[in-house]
Amino acid sequence: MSESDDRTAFESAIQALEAELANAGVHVTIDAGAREAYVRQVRAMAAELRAQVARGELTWAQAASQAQETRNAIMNAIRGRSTPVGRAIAQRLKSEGKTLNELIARKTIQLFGPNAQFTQLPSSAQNRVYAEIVKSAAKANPEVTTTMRRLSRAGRGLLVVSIAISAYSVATAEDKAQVAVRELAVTGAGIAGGVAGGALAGLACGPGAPVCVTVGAFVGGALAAFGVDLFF
Amino acid sequence: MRLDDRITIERLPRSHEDEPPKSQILVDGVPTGKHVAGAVLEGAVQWNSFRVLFTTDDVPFEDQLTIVLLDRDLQELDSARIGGPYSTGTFSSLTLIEPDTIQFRFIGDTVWSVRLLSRPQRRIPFLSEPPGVHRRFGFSRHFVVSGDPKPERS
Repeated sequence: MSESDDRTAFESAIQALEAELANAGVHVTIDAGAREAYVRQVRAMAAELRAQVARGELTWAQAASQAQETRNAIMNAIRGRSTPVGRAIAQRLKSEGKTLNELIARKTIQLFGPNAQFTQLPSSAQNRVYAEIVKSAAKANPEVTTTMRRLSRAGRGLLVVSIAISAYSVATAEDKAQVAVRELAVTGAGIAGGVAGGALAGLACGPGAPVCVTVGAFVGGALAAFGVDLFF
Repeated sequence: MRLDDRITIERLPRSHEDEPPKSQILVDGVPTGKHVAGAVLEGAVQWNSFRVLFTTDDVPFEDQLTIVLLDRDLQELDSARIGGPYSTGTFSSLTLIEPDTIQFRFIGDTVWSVRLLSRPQRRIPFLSEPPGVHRRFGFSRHFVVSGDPKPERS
């Protein structure tokens, strides 16, 4: 193998590495963004329900029932906005949620003690129970949110590293325009290939298989990056 | 091994909304000054001189379960969390199986088991736990969590 071939192979490997860094960074950034949207939307939903009760448009009982339905709808919508990897992680465990009646029983005990019975409470106390359910619907698990924020910073860091390597490659190239186009094309292909690879792996492995989907996203990103790099 | 009804917990105030909940442990209603992760005590078990607490975060639509093993002085020996993002669980069916196993249901349509160990055992981070079980990075454990959680069907 000539020195020129060695150099080409090395540059291709660096290009693929850059593309994979960008691929991972974009995946994490999209999922962290979806998490922030989720936190905002569940809070806004609960605030809107409280406002509707205050305006007399809903009773507390109706607000509690709507909170449960809307919360599940938001959860499904956010899963849809996540990357295939994020979606696979969210689907890894089958939920065993509480029915509205279970929530009522639980909140009644929390508020009024272990012997309290919801049906025997005065209506003002019942409304307090319903209001607590609406308040609960505004909560996202803080442990998950904190982890996603940490990952978000890591994802942005990966993107910065990828962009820095690209900028260095362009700055030190003889034909800056051609290298800039190559950087853009290979990195873009790596990201798109990662999302497509993850989605295909999700179809092949079924829902809730994050390891399989992550491998699919990595392989898809690498294949797309190498494939596009061949054109240059 | 027996259910421990002497233990209760009292939620500690949080400095901001996104801070994970913590509670103080009370024995016979007396505050101990010892803290545990979580906001709601789902169950407590006494095993020899050890205590196992099961707590949840009071986030009914995205709850996670914390399992904590405490020594006789209520110092934490080991802990694990079960749950995942955008999923929730309901703690139920707590069953004690002599000599050292606790079973319950929470999430993933499975019966979870916690086998208590009288002395720590080696573990491999990320590989020694079933899906959905999270532990701090480390190479030993004082109890083994097992279960066969099913995924959500889309």
